[in-house]
Amino acid sequence: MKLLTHNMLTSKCMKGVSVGYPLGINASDVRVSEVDFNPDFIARMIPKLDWAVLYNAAESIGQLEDLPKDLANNYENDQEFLKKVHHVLLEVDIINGELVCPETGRKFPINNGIPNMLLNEDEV
Amino acid sequence: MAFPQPNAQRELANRKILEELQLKKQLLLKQGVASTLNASALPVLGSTPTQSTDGHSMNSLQRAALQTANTQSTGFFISQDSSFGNLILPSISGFEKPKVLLEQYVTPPHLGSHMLYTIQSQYGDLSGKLVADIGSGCGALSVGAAVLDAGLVVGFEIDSDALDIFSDNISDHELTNVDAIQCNVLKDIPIQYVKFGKVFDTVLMNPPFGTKHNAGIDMKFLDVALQLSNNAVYSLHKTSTRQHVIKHAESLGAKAEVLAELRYDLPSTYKFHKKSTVDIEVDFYRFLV
Repeated sequence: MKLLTHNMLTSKCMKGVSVGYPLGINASDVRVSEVDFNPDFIARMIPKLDWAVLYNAAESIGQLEDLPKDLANNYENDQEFLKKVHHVLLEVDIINGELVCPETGRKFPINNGIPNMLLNEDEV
Repeated sequence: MAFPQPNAQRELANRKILEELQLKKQLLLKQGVASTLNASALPVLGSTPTQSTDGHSMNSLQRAALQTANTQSTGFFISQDSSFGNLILPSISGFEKPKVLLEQYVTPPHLGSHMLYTIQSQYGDLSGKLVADIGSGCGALSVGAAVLDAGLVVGFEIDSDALDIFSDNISDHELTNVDAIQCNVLKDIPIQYVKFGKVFDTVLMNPPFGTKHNAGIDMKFLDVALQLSNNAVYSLHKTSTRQHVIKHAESLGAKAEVLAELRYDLPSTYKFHKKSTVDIEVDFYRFLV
């Protein structure tokens, strides 16, 4: 699971959960795999991101490298900055671990890179 | 996602396939997004039969059969050995033990790849886009979208066995721009699409068509797809339900366009199927949000 995917995941479908965002991450296996760099795609994704959530997620799994805490001005043309964002969004991959609902503490296992967000009947 | 490495022999075969794919991609780039479809791509209803300009090799007998089929039917037939089909979705593993309750059918490769080719060449809706594949199954559409340079494809699937094959398909093709989420698309899709607006550019699906027991399930998929997409949804629905589909889309504020009428050549998947293959007429839709 990539951090771009994590940035849009929520547990709000659970009974009694109002926001369910952001999900905490406990990662036991993180890998970095190369992904083709598409600066236009990254620049288009940035306004859709919750930047603080991305920053905290990367920090919590030790993959922050030198991602700035605040969004750069004029980032559309800042190739160096876009590359850093690209790396954190797409190249960092959580293979095994779990996601944690911020309100209930419910854990969602991540196996083989795929988070299992299925809920039991009594949780919906 | 990263997955276990395939064995060396497979790797070699995949590399060959990928090299061919690169060629096809360059062709796409040269043609540009705005270019009109050539005859080898997916024609809209009533257009002329296909010519073999995409370079696939058919013998004269096969070509004659294909042309006859095209002239005698309102549907459009894609030749099974279309080289394009085999290029984009070269070797997708299907369901090992398909589950009738989930209506698990594999999207036929030749059909899936023509869909994807049209989506990219006509509308430019894959390359550099954030793409969702809902009810992704074994990932036929996800793999194709990833090969055509989607920024990221996220597959949504409920079934663990299908996701295992999905993972194998991704790693076999050495794709790194694909993610998957296990969830119930119709009940608890775990995506927040309110806070930051709809996040996905393009949503792909080949939904269950619905049977006696779950009629209308494809419309429920469409509801979810339209909630996720900020631009376009591409989907297949039975031709017999066309009026209903168009009305339903309109009631959700979306504009439906039938891009092509296809023959879905459904090989016998389940024991209760009496014939070895059944042709189902399906419409290939583009819904504009």
